[in-house]
Amino acid sequence: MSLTKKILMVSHGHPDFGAGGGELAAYHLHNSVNTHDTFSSTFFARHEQLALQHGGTPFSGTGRPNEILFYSNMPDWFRFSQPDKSKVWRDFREALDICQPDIVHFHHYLHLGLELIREVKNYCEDTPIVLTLHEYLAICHNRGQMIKPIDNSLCSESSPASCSRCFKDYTAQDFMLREQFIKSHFSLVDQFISPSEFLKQRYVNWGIDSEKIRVIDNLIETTQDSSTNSDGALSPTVLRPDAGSGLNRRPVRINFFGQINWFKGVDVLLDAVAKLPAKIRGDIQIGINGSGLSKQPKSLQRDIQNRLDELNDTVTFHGQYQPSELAGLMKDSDWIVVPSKWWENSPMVILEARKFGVPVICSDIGGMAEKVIHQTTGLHFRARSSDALAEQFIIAVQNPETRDRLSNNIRSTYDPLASFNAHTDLYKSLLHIENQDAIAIKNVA
Amino acid sequence: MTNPQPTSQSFKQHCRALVGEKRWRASRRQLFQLRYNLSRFPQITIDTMVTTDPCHVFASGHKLDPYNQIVAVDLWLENGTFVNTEKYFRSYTSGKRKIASELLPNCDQPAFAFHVSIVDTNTTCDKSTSKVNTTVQPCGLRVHLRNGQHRLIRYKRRPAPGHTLATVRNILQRAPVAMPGRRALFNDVFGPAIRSAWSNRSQPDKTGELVRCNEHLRSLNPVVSLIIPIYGRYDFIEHQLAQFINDVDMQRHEILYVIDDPRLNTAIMDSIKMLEKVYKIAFSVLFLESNLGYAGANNSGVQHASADTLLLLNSDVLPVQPGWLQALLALSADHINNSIVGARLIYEDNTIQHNGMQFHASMFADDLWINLHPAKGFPVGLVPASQSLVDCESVTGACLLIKRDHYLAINGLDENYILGDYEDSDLCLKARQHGLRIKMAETVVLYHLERQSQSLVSDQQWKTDLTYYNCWQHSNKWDSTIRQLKSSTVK
Repeated sequence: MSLTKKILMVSHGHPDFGAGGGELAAYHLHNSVNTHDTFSSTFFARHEQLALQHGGTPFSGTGRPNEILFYSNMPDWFRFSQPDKSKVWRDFREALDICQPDIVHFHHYLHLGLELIREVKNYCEDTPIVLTLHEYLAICHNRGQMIKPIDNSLCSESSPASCSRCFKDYTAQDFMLREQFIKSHFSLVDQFISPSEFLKQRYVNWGIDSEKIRVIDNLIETTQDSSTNSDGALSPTVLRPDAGSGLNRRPVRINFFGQINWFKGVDVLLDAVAKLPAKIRGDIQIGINGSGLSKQPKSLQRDIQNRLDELNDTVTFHGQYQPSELAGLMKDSDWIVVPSKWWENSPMVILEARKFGVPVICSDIGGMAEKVIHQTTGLHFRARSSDALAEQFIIAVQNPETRDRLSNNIRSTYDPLASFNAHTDLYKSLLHIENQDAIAIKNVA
Repeated sequence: MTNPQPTSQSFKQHCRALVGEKRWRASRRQLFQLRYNLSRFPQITIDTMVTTDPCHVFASGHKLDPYNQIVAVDLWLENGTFVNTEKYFRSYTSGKRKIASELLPNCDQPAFAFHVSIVDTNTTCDKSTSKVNTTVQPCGLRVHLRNGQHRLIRYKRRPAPGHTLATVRNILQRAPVAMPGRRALFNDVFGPAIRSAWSNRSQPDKTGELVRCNEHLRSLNPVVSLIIPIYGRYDFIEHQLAQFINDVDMQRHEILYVIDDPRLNTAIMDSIKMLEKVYKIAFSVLFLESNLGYAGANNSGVQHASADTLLLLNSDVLPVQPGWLQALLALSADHINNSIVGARLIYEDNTIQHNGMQFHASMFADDLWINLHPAKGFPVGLVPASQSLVDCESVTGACLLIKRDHYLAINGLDENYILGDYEDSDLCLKARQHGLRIKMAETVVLYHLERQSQSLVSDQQWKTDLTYYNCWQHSNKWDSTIRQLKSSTVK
């Protein structure tokens, strides 16, 4: 029995203070790793909760063991540098000295500072560094959306020249310096993880060696949860117990989950509903679950509010939901709709839908198009087109058997442990630990 | 990204555009006038002038002397005599007061300060006995110019004797904020000035009045005397009693609160009469006549302690579980005769607050020695705890076990530190000199709500300055000892 290998899981946030997809994926992975025999993990999360700070140190705790909170509140949104360098060579170094990790797995660099990656190598040249790329931040200054801020059109490639056209405050030279700075630190990463093939391709085009990026999807729950809940989530029984048939058929339930903002395309969804023929509208129920509307520009808020009022017979706005409610909401859905206007990477909601065997209607671009296969595990519509979405809604309503077919396809291929196993395999290969199978084969030989 | 720093020319043009041509010309005229005046006689203002003790005067001010006319500055005393300040006079940039000195040559260090003895160097100054000079007050400066002339500048404000802390604050206000050479200025001027002012404070009555609560429950031969000073918040007394009473071991010990906050004496007196009815545990409360500070309060408390062993404890330290003191004593049994022992303290979120301290030459404090708390803020589970005592450089006074004889032999906590800082590591260093060792009991864990108990100073700059002074004093006093300690641990 060898000692467990220690992984330092570095995240730019803690789910306790707001759950973004990247933080949740990191936290699930951290908790899953701690159920594993070979590995143990310490969660190192950046935060900016002044009230949780102690005097004379950026560190504090959540009360749970193996979780370190790290205070840093001066984000550099352009270069992702840590402006307070003593947080790098003094504070982060102390964390490394105390944790003595065998692997450092970064889930982000924003708010933390890219220099932390370098400090790992300063601490120990041989410690492997893993970095999960959760979006396109390094490539695109527009919050990593790869959407041109000038006209909100989709962008497929960055370059200093084209980026400086998007941002008047920065010159092409600034963008060149930015790229070189980021790549200087990225060059120290031993293994990148991309949750989607699509995102990987964007980073390969940007200049990262394809060999260095492995595609592994995010974890949406801890392995412990998936073994206890999976029977509830993926019951092979009747798919829609209360669906009824013929004239008694209840309306088709389609749910939207996510932040309410321009990128997530709630307006496309509402437009599509408005364009449905009256007869179809009677057979459909749309639920919108998510928060953030109040943080949007007034014009968007008014626009969405007006349309919600017009469509109140078909569309219900449920507002924010707790993670614990998600299972119930998912099981209650016939379809999930993901009408995002940007590329997405590996949207959580698609992974969740997969877990519950619910087919997805989504835009036909980026990570969504990759994760949902048209007519196999869901339906595609032309991104940003409400007409195309309305068309798919009609198909969904008129062909209830399609839903069941797609759902069965999802159930037959879903493996809740796949991405966790892929992570541990990666850790093992980085530490040159042979798999149990390989050892067994060796013994036989 | 960031704009390049404007050159002086573009800065000037910028100002010109900003204030408008008319005002710019007017201010140019003023500048020329100022230059002309300064060419006739440099400008000197005295910001403050105080007698720090009967034999010393501290003065600070600003000077504009673009043409280097000042050759010497003398201190002018009321009795008509003058004291040469040459050896003590220092010029610097205070950084706290903006002076438009960029437009004049040789004015980049407009602030000055000095601290001089006003008695003859060959007669020693004995504060307690000598009555000489106690009535002699400084009244200004005499400035000698290059052309042989000299001028008298009177300090118009009367130097108010006032409260010692006010004097300290007055002096510290003149000290420069972070800059190269700050440490040297403290060595030459500010440090000695503050030290002499502080040590010259009137010594208050330290005996106080002892009140015993639940005296019938008192152990006549206590094992440990817990000395717990109270300043400001006193609700901690009840919080501690509520924990201590659930620990049978505490009946063997003596709990002694020292109220170092005379404003609260009446309120606490009322409160403890109620507390002793609810919490059936013996405890004593020592009411002091005046605020002595952390060191003074502990030293007074020790005078009343009846056990052989002392535990200095902060009021905001709470045990995690009963039996902690028993455990600490058991671990220390073989060592307490030649050691000081500290305990592991944690925050409310189960992270380390104190696990022993290390001396660290801080690049943010002019390489002065600061007390570093290794692993501070990290979850306890990540910081292994040794089952036996471990050696460390120093331990916090928030929870510190020491033999009473040792404490008295090294004269307890040093009262020269102002308003509580560095006394604990100072105590540890004194103990080292005395041949004692410093140890940590990492398995004895208590909560420490650090800084909740002392909201002493609201003004942040004053607090920073004071910390710097205490740090400077500690570093100067112990520099060689710490270096020796560091070199011996490296081996």
